[in-house]
Amino acid sequence: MKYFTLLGLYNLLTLCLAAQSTVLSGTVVDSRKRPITGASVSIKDSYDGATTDSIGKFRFVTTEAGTQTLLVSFMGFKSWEQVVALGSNPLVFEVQLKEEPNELTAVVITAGSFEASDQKKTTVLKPLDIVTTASANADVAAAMRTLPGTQQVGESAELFVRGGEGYETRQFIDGTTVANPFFGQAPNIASRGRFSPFLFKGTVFSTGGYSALYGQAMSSALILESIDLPDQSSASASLSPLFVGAQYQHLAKNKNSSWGISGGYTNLSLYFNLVKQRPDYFKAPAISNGEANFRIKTSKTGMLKFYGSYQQQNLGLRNPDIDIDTLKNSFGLTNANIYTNLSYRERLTGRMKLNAGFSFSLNKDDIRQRVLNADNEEAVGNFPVFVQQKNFDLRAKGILVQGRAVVDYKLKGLSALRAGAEYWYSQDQSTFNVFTSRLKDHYTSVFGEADLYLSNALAARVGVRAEHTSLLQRTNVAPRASLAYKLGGGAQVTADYGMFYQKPQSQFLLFANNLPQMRADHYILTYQKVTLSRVFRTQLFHKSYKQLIKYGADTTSNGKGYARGVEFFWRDKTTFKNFDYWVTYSYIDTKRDYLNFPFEMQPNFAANHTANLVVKRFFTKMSTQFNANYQFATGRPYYNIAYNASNNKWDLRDQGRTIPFHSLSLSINYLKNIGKAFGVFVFSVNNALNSRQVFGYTYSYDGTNKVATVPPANRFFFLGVFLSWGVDRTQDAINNNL
Amino acid sequence: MKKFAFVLFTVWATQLIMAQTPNEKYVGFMKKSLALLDSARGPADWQAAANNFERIANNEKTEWLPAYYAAYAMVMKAYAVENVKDIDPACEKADAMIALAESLAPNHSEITTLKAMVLTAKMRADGGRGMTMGPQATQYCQQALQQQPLGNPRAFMQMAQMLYYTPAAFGGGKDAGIGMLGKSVAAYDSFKPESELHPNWGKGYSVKLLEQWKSGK
Repeated sequence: MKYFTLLGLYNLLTLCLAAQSTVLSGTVVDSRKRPITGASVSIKDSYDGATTDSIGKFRFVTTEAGTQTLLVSFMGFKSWEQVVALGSNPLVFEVQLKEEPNELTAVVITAGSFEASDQKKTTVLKPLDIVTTASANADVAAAMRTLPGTQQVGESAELFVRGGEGYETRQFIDGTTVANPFFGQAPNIASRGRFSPFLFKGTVFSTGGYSALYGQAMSSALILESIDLPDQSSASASLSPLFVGAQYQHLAKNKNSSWGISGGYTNLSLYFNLVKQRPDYFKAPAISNGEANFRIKTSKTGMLKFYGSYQQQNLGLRNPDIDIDTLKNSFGLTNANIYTNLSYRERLTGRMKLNAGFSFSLNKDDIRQRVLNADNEEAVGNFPVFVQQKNFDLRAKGILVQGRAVVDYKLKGLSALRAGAEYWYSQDQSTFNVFTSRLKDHYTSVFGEADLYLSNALAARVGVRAEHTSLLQRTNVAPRASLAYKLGGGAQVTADYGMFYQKPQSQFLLFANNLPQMRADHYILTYQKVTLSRVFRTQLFHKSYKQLIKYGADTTSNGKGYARGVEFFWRDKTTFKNFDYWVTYSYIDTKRDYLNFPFEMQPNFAANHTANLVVKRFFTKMSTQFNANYQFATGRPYYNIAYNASNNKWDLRDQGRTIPFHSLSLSINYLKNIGKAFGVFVFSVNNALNSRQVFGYTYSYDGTNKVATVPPANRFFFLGVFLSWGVDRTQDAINNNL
Repeated sequence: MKKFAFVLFTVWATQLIMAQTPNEKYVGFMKKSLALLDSARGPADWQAAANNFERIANNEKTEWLPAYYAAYAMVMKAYAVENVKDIDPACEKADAMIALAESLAPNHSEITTLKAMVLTAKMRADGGRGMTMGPQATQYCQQALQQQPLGNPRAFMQMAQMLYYTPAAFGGGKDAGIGMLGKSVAAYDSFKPESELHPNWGKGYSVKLLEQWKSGK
């Protein structure tokens, strides 16, 4: 019996131990006391736990005993922990989770810029938008011209942003700047960008107030991020009456590295025979190009990328002379360009990332302008000096070497610190007829910025950039700041401020190198509302320019100006089924007193009102995408400014405004497999309605003759086919498998 | 005597429970959680199942299956949610669990298949992602098939669904999808999971879907 009792006691004890259980229950709510459904509630280091129901309640029984930790977690919220003493008494909890700032829900600091990316949710554009914008013909800058803040400056490939000149917009590839992003250009005839949009996975177009990481651009930054390893080895070819091209990309078997080469030849002579051009081209534009790249995954988180290109370009054309109607002017251009970019990124520690870049570029222009007689021979005779001066040879050579490193240190949540330095060495040499001049500059910069997420709804970015140029012997400090506040429902407001410096262009520095850097100050207010398929954005900005170049008897930095305006962007992918469109409108009020302007005037590249309508529709059954866009701008001012030697001043002799700018562009992309190749057929036409476009006027020396600056042809047609073959062994593997 | 027998029995039973080895506890919990997973019907169920597996994953630092199922449940939640804005957070969680599973079982066909499934879910959130994520998802499927030479029926099924909804001009189409799904069903017939805890889901759905596609043609 005794034995029996003992056994019973032991039994009771074990039973008690086994059965000792605690009931835990409670509710989980967010900061506004709304229930959180699906939150995980658990005893740390145990299997016991539960999930909150639709009203945020949970209840579970645990057999764990003693001092334990109760853990509550849910996506988008900071985890909650509490030490609990588990006995047999039921425990009730009221848990309030705090939102954790994260990329999906947090306010966006850089809301003022336009970003094209597949990865991020909040972007306004997709990489594909750049190649399917009808007017752009796969030119990155031309695609950006359908966004607010840009001018329709048809005679240049550059981006004129918010009252800024074309050179005030700078392009950056993987952090380093591109000295000559566009092909060489004949006077008043737009060329295009040197880089294919397919090289980039991310594009950020900031029309103002951008990060302290970027400098030497007073108006705008076009920040391009090159693609990493390709998904597979592939070959591609392109064929058009305008060009031929071929490309091969090889992905190593272990998928840790790749290399690629490409080459192409463009010649517009066939096209010019079919579509009449206004200038008399004695050498139709021709370009030979070759590119090479490699990309190496140096570790799980490290990537080394190289891209290099060589391009050689020729063109020659004749136009009537503006002063003497029996004469002509011929213009010939030979351009050679080498561009290389080496970039490296690595996660140094869990929190620290390094981005480094190195770039070398060389650009050579050989320009020859001559006054010709009716037989296209060099004109001889006793012509006035201003006609004789039209005969010149200009040989220019520019080298830019850059090194850059940026360290990114992640703080709590989304907050981060970034700091870095860069060094540019530039050397510009030009020979005008027989006069040779050289400019060298060592430009160094250090910069830092902090992204501070005070909450999910409020974030600030403060940055500063210090720059020194040895040529100008100046040091400038440029502060930048942004404040972003989330209103809910996908809406937010952002305020940006920044000071931006840029060296005067080298043609001015040749004559005076005691000039300070030019300066622009930006103040921008942005409201945007982004939902999954609709984007609305409006921006109000004010920009003031100081220390611009002004020349009269001397070259000075007394120039100044301002730009202010309002812009709207609306994109909608849902209202009409399968139909995607965006509309933009920009208003600008801008004046400058710079260069030879006799007083403050609206610059001739600025139109007060600009609007765009971009439409895209994909027909799945036809495998065809139709794109259209309509671009409109009110007339631009033009001036005849002449030097008055009697009082050493510039006089405004005549002025006017051009007719408004209209352009309707259409493009069709048809997708079809041809044999083993995936093919895209492209047909496009710019200015399909044949509208007359006038970009400005040039005046004869005596001011009696004024000639409209017009495009070489009203319309531009393109027809081409792009084929790609994926050379992928896994395909064979599957086929063998089946 | 009856009483004595009862006491003896309870002693034996209690001791049995108490003496459960960690592995048995793991297996027991996994089975319970798998049963919950099998009965999941809506986003809330998938989330609860994912939470269960995540708790197991937090305790069993060497087992890849809990993280795998947590990721799977999150992908299923991403497919099931009504509001598209809930897709990305679920996918993000799934990605984190996939990374954990992959660190324990590298180059595993089932995990690679999940990666393709996450991409498919992400594309549901934003059609514009298809251009880059579509080919990537296809590649994961191909990789998954390579990693399991006998044929992973789930990888075939995922591939079939992607083909079915890809326009014929891009190398897809309904016929291609049906053909691939047929391979999936055949692979299910000969598929033997490594253990009762290893992935063995999808057969019923695959068979049903094939019938549906064939009749819908």
